[in-house]
Amino acid sequence: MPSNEVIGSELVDLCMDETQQRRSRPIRDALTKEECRFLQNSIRTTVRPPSHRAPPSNLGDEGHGKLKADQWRSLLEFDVPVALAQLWSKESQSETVAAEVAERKEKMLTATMYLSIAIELGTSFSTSRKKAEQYTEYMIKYLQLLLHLYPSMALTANQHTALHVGPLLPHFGPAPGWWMFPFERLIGALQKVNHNYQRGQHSFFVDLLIKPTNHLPKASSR
Amino acid sequence: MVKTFANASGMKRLLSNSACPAVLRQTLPIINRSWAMDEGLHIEEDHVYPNIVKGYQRLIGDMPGLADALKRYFSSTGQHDHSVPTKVWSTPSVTIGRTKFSPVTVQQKESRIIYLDHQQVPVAGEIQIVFKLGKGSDTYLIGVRRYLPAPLDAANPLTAFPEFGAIVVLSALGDLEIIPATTSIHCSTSLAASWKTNTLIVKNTSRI
Repeated sequence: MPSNEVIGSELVDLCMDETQQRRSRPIRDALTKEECRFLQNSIRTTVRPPSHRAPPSNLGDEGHGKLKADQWRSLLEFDVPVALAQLWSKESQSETVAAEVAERKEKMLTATMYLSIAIELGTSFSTSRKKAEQYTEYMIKYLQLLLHLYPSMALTANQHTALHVGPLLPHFGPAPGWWMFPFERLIGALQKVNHNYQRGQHSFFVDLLIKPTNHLPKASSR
Repeated sequence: MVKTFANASGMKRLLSNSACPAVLRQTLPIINRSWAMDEGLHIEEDHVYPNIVKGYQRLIGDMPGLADALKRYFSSTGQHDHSVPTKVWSTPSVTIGRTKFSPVTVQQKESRIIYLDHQQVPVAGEIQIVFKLGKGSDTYLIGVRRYLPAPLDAANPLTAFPEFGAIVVLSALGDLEIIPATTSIHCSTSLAASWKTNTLIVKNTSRI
């Protein structure tokens, strides 16, 4: 055997070829126009508490804008799972749909449900060891199903990080107590402070504290 | 800034929670002393809905079923000797925790709730009236009509996912019943189901 040949390299090449082939066949799972209209109609007719920000009713069309975290959460907590359950469940699919397509859509619905349940458990205002375990269980189920549906997909860093949230819940308590959204809001407020591109002239924090109260004397213009 | 952070992160709610680690809960008295946040049960009496809350008095006879509902409520709480009053002090809303609840005639979005019935089973309903029995009373009661349960044989694609927590009900309402305004009442998000008319999908989305 030549010294520069690596043992098992033919297997690696075979795997790489298979991966390349899978990647060259993109899987199209986008909602159809009718399904998109159904989701939009569901969003429009849903009665939700005032504290819940509704997703844009033209979701899926061009120009619905960037969704806020709260809108993503509303979508995944109620709108998307409920709409998809009505479209893609075994009971809802028409007999004209091919069995393979119907099965795939049902698996996609199951994955969406796993994600929705995991998000609800992970972002709840109360937590327990049981909830933390359930969160991890559903997140793993979701990711496994995702890899089954999209074998060529590489998991992202966020999906990896999501698996670390479960063990942290019993230690730090409910996620809203230590998630970063308050800092995101603060960053948002800081970005709105008018500094006229003259950095270092003023303290943004002083601006933030003075403006709402307005009880401190204004800085002299001299 | 700390106040803003605390408000935004729901720190007091977190620290009040039994699930919060004991070490963190020890800081609650400091936060309580520092500032009083808008927590707990209170009535917002500054809203003006003259047709509903004029003088905050409402004759019981004006609302069909209220007298019977009160009788059942007194009976279930062991107050058999309590006679049904002739009037109650109604209000346009009640805030429990940080969530505002209103009768359907005031604000539909704040009227759909999920609450525990006497068998501790979550049921969906619609608030009809918020009131207290005496002007000086601290206990607020909610008159609610629950959505009738959907027949078991009805096709329901959500039955495969019980952990999702959605309740499927008929949009028809049952008799008026009285429940105390406590933290076991949650706001809900609801949508008419497409697979059958007069059917609603209701889910607790109070984030508790």
